[in-house]
Amino acid sequence: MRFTSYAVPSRFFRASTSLLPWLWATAAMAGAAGLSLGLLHTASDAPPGDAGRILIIQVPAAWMSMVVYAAMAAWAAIGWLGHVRLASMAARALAPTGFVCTVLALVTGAFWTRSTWGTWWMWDARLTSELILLLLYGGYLGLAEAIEDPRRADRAGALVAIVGAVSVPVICFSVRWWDALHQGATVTSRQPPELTDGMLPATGLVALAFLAWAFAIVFVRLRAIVLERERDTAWVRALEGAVSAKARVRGIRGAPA
Amino acid sequence: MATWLHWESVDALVAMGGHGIHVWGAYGATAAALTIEGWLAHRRARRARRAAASAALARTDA
Repeated sequence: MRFTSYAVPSRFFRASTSLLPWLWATAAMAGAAGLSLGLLHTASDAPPGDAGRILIIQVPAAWMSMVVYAAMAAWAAIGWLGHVRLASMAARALAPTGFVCTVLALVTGAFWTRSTWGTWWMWDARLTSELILLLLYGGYLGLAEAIEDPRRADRAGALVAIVGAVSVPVICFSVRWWDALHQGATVTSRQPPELTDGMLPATGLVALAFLAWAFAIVFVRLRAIVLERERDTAWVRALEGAVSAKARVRGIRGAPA
Repeated sequence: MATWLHWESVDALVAMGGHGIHVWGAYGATAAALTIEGWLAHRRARRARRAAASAALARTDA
């Protein structure tokens, strides 16, 4: 079977049924391992001391806010230009998760800046560009929800998503392009990370947990969108008809004589 | 506390070297956001499933 065959909503629906438990399990295990390593077992002696433990969740949330936006823009473009309806639905399913990741990056970042810089907010290049990303997510969600016809909503949303994609490299390179109080990249291949020894694997594990959680949540939401839009198709009728029939049989068996 | 733990006491873990309010505030906000998002996504999935099932049932009965 070709990989592209999963662009058919019915095939995606069946494949995601078997994938979801694995994604939830990965998110739970990686999250538990990362948090236990970062919060309980690792010393944080280097500056900024224990406040550095905020970065275990802040850095993965910020990464995910950008990764999810890039994925959303890519799927929106594929859906719009290639007329692939599952791609447009995937873009719609990704947006709320990206919005939440961006809110988390900003909120946990505010706790971090309060703890280390002494202020909750600063109009720093990285912080401001992340705030613009949040507004782009909000604009995409607001526009897509405001238009009743799903296909028109997908096209309008795709335009916002594609134009806004320019913000992702801006966020990445903002600390290099402008004078910023925000530190440079927390983890790079060129220099030792700012995180202390145990914090780096902890951050990696939490990033894996965020990724698996994002996949799982997006799959749950995408399955809902597929059912909402394909309600009148034969495969949904067959699927839900079978489920309803089973429920009826169970009800008859369970009914008092 | 057990020797394999970094912390000497629960109080030290809670205090986080004077950064407790910020560290636990950040973790609390994250837990709350992830819980709310998970609940909303599952609620939408349940509603979509229910609507599709009643549509299928209505057709079968008809």
